[in-house]
Amino acid sequence: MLEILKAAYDRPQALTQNRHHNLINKGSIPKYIYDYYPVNQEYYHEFNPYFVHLIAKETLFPEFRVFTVRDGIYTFADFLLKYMKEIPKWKTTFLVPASYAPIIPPQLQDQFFSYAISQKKKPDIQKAKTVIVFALLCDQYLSSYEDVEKKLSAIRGLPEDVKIEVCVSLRKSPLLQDEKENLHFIHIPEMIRKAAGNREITWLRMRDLMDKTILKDAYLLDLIHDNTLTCDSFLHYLFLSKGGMVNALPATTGKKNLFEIDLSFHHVLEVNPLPPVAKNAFVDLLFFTKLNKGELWSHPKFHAEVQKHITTSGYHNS
Amino acid sequence: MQKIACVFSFQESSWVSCQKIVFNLHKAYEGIPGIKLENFNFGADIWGGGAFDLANKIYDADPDTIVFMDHKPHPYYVLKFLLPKYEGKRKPRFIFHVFGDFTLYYADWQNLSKILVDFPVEFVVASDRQKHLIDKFLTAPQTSHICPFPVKSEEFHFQKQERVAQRKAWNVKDDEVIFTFTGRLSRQKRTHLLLKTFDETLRRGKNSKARLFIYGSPDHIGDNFLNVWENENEYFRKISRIYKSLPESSQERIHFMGNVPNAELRSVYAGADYLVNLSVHNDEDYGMSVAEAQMSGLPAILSDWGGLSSFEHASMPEATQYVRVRFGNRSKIISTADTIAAMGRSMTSHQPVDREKLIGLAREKFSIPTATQRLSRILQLPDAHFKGLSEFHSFITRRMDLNKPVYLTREQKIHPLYRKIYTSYVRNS
Repeated sequence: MLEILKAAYDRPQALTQNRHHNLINKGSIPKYIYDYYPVNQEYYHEFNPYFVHLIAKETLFPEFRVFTVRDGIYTFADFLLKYMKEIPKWKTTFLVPASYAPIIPPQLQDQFFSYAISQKKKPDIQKAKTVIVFALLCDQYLSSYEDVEKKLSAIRGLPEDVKIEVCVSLRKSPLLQDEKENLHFIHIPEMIRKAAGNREITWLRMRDLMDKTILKDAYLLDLIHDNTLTCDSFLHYLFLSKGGMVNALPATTGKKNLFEIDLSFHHVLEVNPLPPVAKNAFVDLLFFTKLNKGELWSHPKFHAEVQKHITTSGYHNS
Repeated sequence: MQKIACVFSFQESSWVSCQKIVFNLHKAYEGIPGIKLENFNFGADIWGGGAFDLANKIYDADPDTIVFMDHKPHPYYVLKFLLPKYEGKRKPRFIFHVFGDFTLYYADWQNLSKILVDFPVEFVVASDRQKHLIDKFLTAPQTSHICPFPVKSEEFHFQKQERVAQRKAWNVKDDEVIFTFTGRLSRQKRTHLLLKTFDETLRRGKNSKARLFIYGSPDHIGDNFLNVWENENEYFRKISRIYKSLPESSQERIHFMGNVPNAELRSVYAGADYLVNLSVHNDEDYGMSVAEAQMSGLPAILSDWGGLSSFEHASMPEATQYVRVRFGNRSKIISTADTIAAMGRSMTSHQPVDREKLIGLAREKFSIPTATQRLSRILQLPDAHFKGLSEFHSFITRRMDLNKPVYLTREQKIHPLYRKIYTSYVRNS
């Protein structure tokens, strides 16, 4: 199994833009993609981190020796159910978070490894000179207001000279069948102001955040709740590659991994075999599709069915 | 009292070197006697209606001279509203400070040139070689003027105690020769070559008393003119693999320090013994990091490309060692032999330079008071009425419209047009 990873890593073409990259974003892109920005921005390493739903044609998958899945749990589950017969023919090796193991079809386990992204330095908000709070203001990014308050409480105890910057953007939930109004644009800024106390807050536009060049001593307090939208946010890559810290990712433990790739000077992709699971849920999901028709990724019942089998809560990419 | 309108973005550029340039240029203008400056915000947010309002504000201020001192947005987008207002009236003089990205905006300059005819115009460039390049685009007898982007001597100078402190922070010994690079880790800045040549120099000299401290973050700009496109993080992966392929003894001597605030760079230059910059970037009109390093008394090993050629001093040849650059079939080629030789000499025959002498020479060229004098002379020149850009510029603009790689032949080799433009950046070409 390690040979597959090494062979993909050592290919002369591994460092060049995948020659089908220009085709990846063409074709029928799901319209919910535009609600993801900037979380789904692209970045590159030899194991091809992409969202499966961005690959224009399934016939392109064989071009990827190794494919690192950035999708949220529902779009990925939907993908598995749609292409379970094609995946063995592609011979592509997929990297997924370990928490996705329960929904990997048993007969395809040989084509899957688990990955985790970890930061080389332990994130410590107390060491930050700037804390940047980020959220997409939609139900599927956030969780309950109690949970948001709990995350924001990390700001309360900070020294007075720590700068607080906020970048929040009103969106509709990408994976919902029907549009639903929310009042997050009122409540979340209020909660942030309350947590910041007397400190001045700098409100950032998305471009201000994406244009930052120096993030050393900056701490990203991402209000992302779980893996609904993604298991690999571009913002985490952005902060870590520029020397910042991220609340949502673990620190490197120093344990030996099957394979590692440095994603920047500050964070690393760790690859290991898929962990064993007590119960594989793929058959249950397959059964679900027999009883329920239509687009699964936006189906609340499908979401609930998948959640039944995922034992790790919160946002995770391990 | 001459009224000067300074047009620039009040918001800091995301291009780090440009943040300092605008601020320091403004300081240089402030030092000119007998002028009154008024500032106008022309930032990336100002399009359409905002540019129209800005044009009205500038017009109402009735300046004698309008100075564009930022690299973007392109002046065309406000001047298309402003210039028609001067029909039949006294025309102000325009001064355009030209940045390295001039050659990214042929179409915008071409559009601007049509409406700028007969206005008094001066183009100010940052180096001799950039002048050579830009003058190809101007119609004789108009030529550009040189005013290197200034550096604040309060920000960059040398203090012995800073050197001691920085070397302690780096945990390096007194007899270790320290090389440093500051800037974007980039294909066009040849970071990958820097790693390889440093390693090779260590191995040939069997010298374990040298270290390389690299400050900056990788980009993914690639080399688009030569059809090399990179994804985000692709270049980092390349240099990471190169670094990991080096022997451990070399890896231990190379340190990636990431991005640091500008205020920390003075200490870096104080602690180091040599700056190394092997850039062959299309946009290398100058070399702000080199200017700052020299203002801190740091000698340099530089590629002989573009604006980096500005940093030799006839009375102090030891301050700068140049590495030859030529055009290959597919890319710009830096002499690896020259690079290794220069690093090798620096490692084995290292003699500390007279930093204060170098600082004095650098201040004569790059300080804010020097820039003030140069700009003052430019302002005193008789009006040079703009006659349009050259036929060469028009030719390039037309080719750009054809929507295919302009600078490559069908065989994917460097096109003669690219050589014709960038021959200005190569010595004795």
